[in-house]
Amino acid sequence: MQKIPLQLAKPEMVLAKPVTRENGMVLIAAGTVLTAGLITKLDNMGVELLVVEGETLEMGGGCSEEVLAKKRERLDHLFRKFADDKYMQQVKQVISDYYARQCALAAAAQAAREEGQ
Amino acid sequence: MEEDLRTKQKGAILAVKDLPTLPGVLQEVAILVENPNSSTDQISKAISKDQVLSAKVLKMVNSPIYGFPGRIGSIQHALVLLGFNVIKGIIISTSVFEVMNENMKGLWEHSLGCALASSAIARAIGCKDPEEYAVAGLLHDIGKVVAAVQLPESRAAIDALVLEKDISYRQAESEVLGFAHDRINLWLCNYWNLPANLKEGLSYHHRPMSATLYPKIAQVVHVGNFLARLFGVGNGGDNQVSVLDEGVLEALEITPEVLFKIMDGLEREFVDLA
Repeated sequence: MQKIPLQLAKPEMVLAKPVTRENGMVLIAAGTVLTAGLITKLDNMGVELLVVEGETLEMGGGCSEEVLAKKRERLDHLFRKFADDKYMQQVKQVISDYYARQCALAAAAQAAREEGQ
Repeated sequence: MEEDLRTKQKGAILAVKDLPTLPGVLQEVAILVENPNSSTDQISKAISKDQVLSAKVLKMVNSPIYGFPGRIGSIQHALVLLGFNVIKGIIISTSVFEVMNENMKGLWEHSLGCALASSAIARAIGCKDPEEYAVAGLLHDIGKVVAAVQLPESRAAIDALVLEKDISYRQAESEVLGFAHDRINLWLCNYWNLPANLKEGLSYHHRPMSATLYPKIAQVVHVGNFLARLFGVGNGGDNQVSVLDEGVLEALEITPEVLFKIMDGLEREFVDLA
């Protein structure tokens, strides 16, 4: 299973954990198959994260440029106050490299799977 | 005048004994522990009297944070495996966070995330007793919770300031209260009589290079806090990464390769936490 942002949720994905309100009330049970309508509803309710079955990287086909760009965009946001901090910029670069490497590994794994099929 | 206000706020914060959820058991257990003749059997019996608390403690010790392969089924077993200080930390954290369930849920998740990250770092660099690092991570923001409970109006002011000026929660705390949660942590550690290593871990997690007695635990929680924020686990009060002080990674001998390995592991473990 994998925790994913709602934006990456797609119909047919299966919830691995229930979606709950902050007070713990279950809105949608684990095991529910997502539909486009359900995803819109979740969006309206302000749900941001879901835990779904399987690895979305596999479902999404390796790691797209889009996913990597999103991660980097998030990094920019998280580090927005450290533009003048030389050391923090180095840290940011190291993490950005990590994402790139992770992405390359996922893509390679995907290619290997396709070859095997 | 300003000094007066600060003293007053400190007093208000330290009236923690009024916290509705802090179990009487804690006091009782603390007395037992002071006495060298007490056995773990006596201590575990005292904790077990409070069934709700026992259930919470057991749930916590069986979470991926502590990484024991089998199931820990009794308080006594947990005490033997984790030691009293860790169990005490768990009792305090679950009890204090209890009050804040609704509007500070994000902070609880952030604390769990920091605990998990601190434990992963401690294991990766071969620290002795990684559970102690985990519990320091769990408690690292306890000052935020206690301040918010004891001085509710300040909490609103801090939140507003974070949004208005786009500064960190800690900066906003300093502006509103005159001190931040790491200072509150220090008072609380004294108040609860927590051991010196936890005290340093909790009070120096924002300036780990100043910790003198147990710099390592402060450094590990410092990095753990950063990672929990980087991964976006829960919410520490603002949406930035925390400053990673130069020299901390080097002091802990965390090279980029080690860091990547820790992050690989955390990616999987944070899912289990959800």
